[in-house]
Amino acid sequence: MIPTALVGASIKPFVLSILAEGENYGYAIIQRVKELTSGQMEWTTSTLYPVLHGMENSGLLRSEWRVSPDGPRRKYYALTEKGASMMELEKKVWLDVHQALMQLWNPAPGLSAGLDLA
Amino acid sequence: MRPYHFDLELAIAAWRRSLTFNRTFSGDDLDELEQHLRDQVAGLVAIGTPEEQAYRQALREMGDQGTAETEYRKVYWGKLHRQHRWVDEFYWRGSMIKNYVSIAVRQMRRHKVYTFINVLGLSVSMACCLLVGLYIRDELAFDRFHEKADRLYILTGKGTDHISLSTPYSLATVLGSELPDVAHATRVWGGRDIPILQMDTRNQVDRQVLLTEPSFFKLFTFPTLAGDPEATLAKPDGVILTASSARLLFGSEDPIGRQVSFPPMLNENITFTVGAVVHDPPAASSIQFDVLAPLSLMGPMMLKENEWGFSLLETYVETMNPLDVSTLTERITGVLQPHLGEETEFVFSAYPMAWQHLSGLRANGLTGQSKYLYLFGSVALLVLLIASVNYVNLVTAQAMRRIREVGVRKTLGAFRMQLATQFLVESTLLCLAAFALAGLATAGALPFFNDLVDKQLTAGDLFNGWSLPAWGAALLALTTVAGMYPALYLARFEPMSMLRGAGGAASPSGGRRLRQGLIICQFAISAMLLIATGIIYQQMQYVRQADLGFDGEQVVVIDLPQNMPNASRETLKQRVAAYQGVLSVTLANGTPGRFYLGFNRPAEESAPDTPNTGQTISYHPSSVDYDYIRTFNIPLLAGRDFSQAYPADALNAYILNKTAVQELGWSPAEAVGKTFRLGPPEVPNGEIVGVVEDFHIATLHDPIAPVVLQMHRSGPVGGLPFTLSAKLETGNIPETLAYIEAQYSALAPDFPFAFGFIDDEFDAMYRAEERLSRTITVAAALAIFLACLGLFGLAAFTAERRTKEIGIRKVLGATVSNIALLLSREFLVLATLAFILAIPPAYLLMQNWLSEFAFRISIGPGIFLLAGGLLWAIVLLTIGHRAVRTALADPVESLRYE
Repeated sequence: MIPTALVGASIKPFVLSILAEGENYGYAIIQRVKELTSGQMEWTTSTLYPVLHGMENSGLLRSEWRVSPDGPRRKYYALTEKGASMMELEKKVWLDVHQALMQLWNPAPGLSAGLDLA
Repeated sequence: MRPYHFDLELAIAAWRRSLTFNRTFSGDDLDELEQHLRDQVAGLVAIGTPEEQAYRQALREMGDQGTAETEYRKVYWGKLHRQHRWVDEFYWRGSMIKNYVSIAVRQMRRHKVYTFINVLGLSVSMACCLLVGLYIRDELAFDRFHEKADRLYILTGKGTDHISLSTPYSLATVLGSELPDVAHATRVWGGRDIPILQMDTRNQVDRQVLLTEPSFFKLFTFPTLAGDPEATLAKPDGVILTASSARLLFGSEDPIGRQVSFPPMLNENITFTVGAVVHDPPAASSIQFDVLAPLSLMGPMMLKENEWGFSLLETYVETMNPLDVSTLTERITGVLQPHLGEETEFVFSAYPMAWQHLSGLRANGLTGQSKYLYLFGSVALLVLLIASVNYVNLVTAQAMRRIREVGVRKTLGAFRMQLATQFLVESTLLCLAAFALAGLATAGALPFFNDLVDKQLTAGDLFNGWSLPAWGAALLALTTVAGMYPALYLARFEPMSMLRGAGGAASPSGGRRLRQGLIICQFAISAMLLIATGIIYQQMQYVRQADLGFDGEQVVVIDLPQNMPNASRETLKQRVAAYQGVLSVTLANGTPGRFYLGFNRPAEESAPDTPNTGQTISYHPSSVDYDYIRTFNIPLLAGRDFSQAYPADALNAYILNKTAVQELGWSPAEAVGKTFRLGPPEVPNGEIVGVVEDFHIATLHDPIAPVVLQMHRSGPVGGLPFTLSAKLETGNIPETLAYIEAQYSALAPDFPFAFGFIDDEFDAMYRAEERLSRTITVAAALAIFLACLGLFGLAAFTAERRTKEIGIRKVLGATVSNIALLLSREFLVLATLAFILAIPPAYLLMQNWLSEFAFRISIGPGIFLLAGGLLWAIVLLTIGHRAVRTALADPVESLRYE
């Protein structure tokens, strides 16, 4: 299981990244995340929707009710310009963290040896 | 019965309806959630799950409603804002408040006794706070109306043992010309009532005349109505009138250019011209006057440069910039150094203009002393505290009753905040009602309060300047403090335990502890005030009955004008003495209560033979005649009275009191015949001819002073205000006084007849104490009344709650007295505990107060026993009636209820 804190922290980048692929609706976003994490991360509605609404309040997203090709009326969310640039920012932050961790987990051989010698 | 069949549409509709009641979810949100649910169900059905099971699993996966609500609430306001729906929201909130208010009003109506006790207690204590607030504001506002108030300073000189506002003439001269920080300096003298004569109409009135210089108007803000005040004061014969003096003397006529004179002080032929009219000084001004005249009127003898020991005038300076008083004092000392040279005993300091009023140097009754601000402020807050305690106690006690209500509300989905708001609204309403009443009570009590503290406050002052917002803020604070605890306390209970039984697990024993603590606190305050009242009363009683060492009964003292010739004084004395209603008459310039002079002299300088060399004695001299000791009936301890049989008496004989000879190191008998001398070096040596018993020349605040009596002659004690004292026969005093006045008027026609009885004058010197005594008595009465009011409410509540228990006890054979005791015991124990707690602080406080008296009672156990007994009796009276009534009730009645 992924710890709750990390789930909370990653909601925003997930939402931004999924919507960067194209506009989407809540249920599909949850399904997509479940699929990406092989079922390890499963959001409830009370996790996702308030976040979506909050991001909309702060102008990162816009929403629209649309009749989907297969029938029912759904609320689609899409990135605004501000959301797109926020997405870039989030990406950089996560990559920075990722890279830092990777350096620890796969250290460059020379550096590690050097430290040992010292 | 139809067979059970799961219908997805029905289930979804039901689920949606359950959420519709909650405003947290908008229609839009619900649409979105519903579609989500449908998608989820469809997804599960697609992999083969039966529809009903799919629905339940989907609901589970969506998470519980509580969490959803909390999460949705976080973004709620942003959504309202985005969708411009916040007006609706305020409408919703508004209707909630309407609901809170109507429930609150219903509660107040249903529990009339509690509402009455709370409103009465809070309003009485708020009225106290309002009155004290007005008093404090008035005291603090003194002298702040001057435009340059932040740059005005008053200078003080140092007297023998205390600072004084009297400063020498040269001070302003030197500072004005040599200290660059000083922009202007001004000197002021007088402020006494002097008759002023309007030359045309011969209309004469007593007015408060202040002598000063043109720079007076550079420093102070007394707005001009007509003329040029500075130019007027620059002339030797210019006077300035206040608007009210101008009206008194000239009516509606234009006073500018008209003539007035001061006949009793100066010759009537010396006239003055009115050059300007100014507004009357505000009541909050330390500088008060009706007439301003040039300082030069005092004559060159009084206004000598470089006479640093001769202090008569008040000196004020205006600095270029606001300065720290210690910096200013330091600079003043520096500038004065070359002028003072060796005369280091002269110390001058600067204080801010606004300091003087509360310095105590101008104290009058209960005004002008900062200690009374603290005293009144704390008493008002204590009274308010007692009323707030009543509120908290009654509300938490009543909580038992409302536990069911709270439980039901919680079960129906009320948030804790909503419940707390409900209780806060209730307390706010109560406080508002109390506040409105307090406003009325304040207006009603103002005349009484004004009389108590010697002020002219009006109800209009309540609405002055910042007071209204301040009262509003105070009310808000009170509401919050009084309402917050019960609100949170009541809203805290768990609904389950509340509904299960009001007396069960939810019974708040912690609340009872708190209640007991608060009752102790209330009664400790009441007991302290009660003890204080008793001790102040005892001391005042002691002061009134103390043996002053002289007989002041029926002794009338008449002030004689300064310019009255000696011969006229003697004539007056003889005429008065000849009247049959007069027992004895004496002329003196120091009578008990009016010893104006003090001489500090090394012991050996006044008495060369003294064994106590090197000691400084602070003599209080008076020049007297042959009848002084007889008139005041002062016992002689050794030697003799002045007598015409000894011609030398008129020149250089002295009579000292016991303290004076003791300080010189002699017994009364030893002192007689010793060489003595008081005055400048040219005065020849004299002899002590008699020693009298100690007598009080001032209030019992001061220790007995060394007194020196000598016969009238031109000497250091001449030139002081003279008095004629006459001991009257008991009958026909008004007639005798009329005779004396007639004789006086014949001899001093221009000066008003002013007299006073020594007894009355001594009583008047305890005015501040008398008023303090009355104030503390009122405060104690209020505190006890409020505490008892609360106690009464609680006793009623306890009796009501224990009705059943008492019924059972009675059935099982308990007597009425058993039950009455059972109901009273708790409160009596609390009151006793409170009383014991009150003793040490009360003792220390009163010891401190008594230390202002040189002659005082010692605090004995009696007063504590009395106060304790009284407190017990009051508590018993308050709760006893209720306890007995409950105990007498028929057990059948009490057991049948429910």
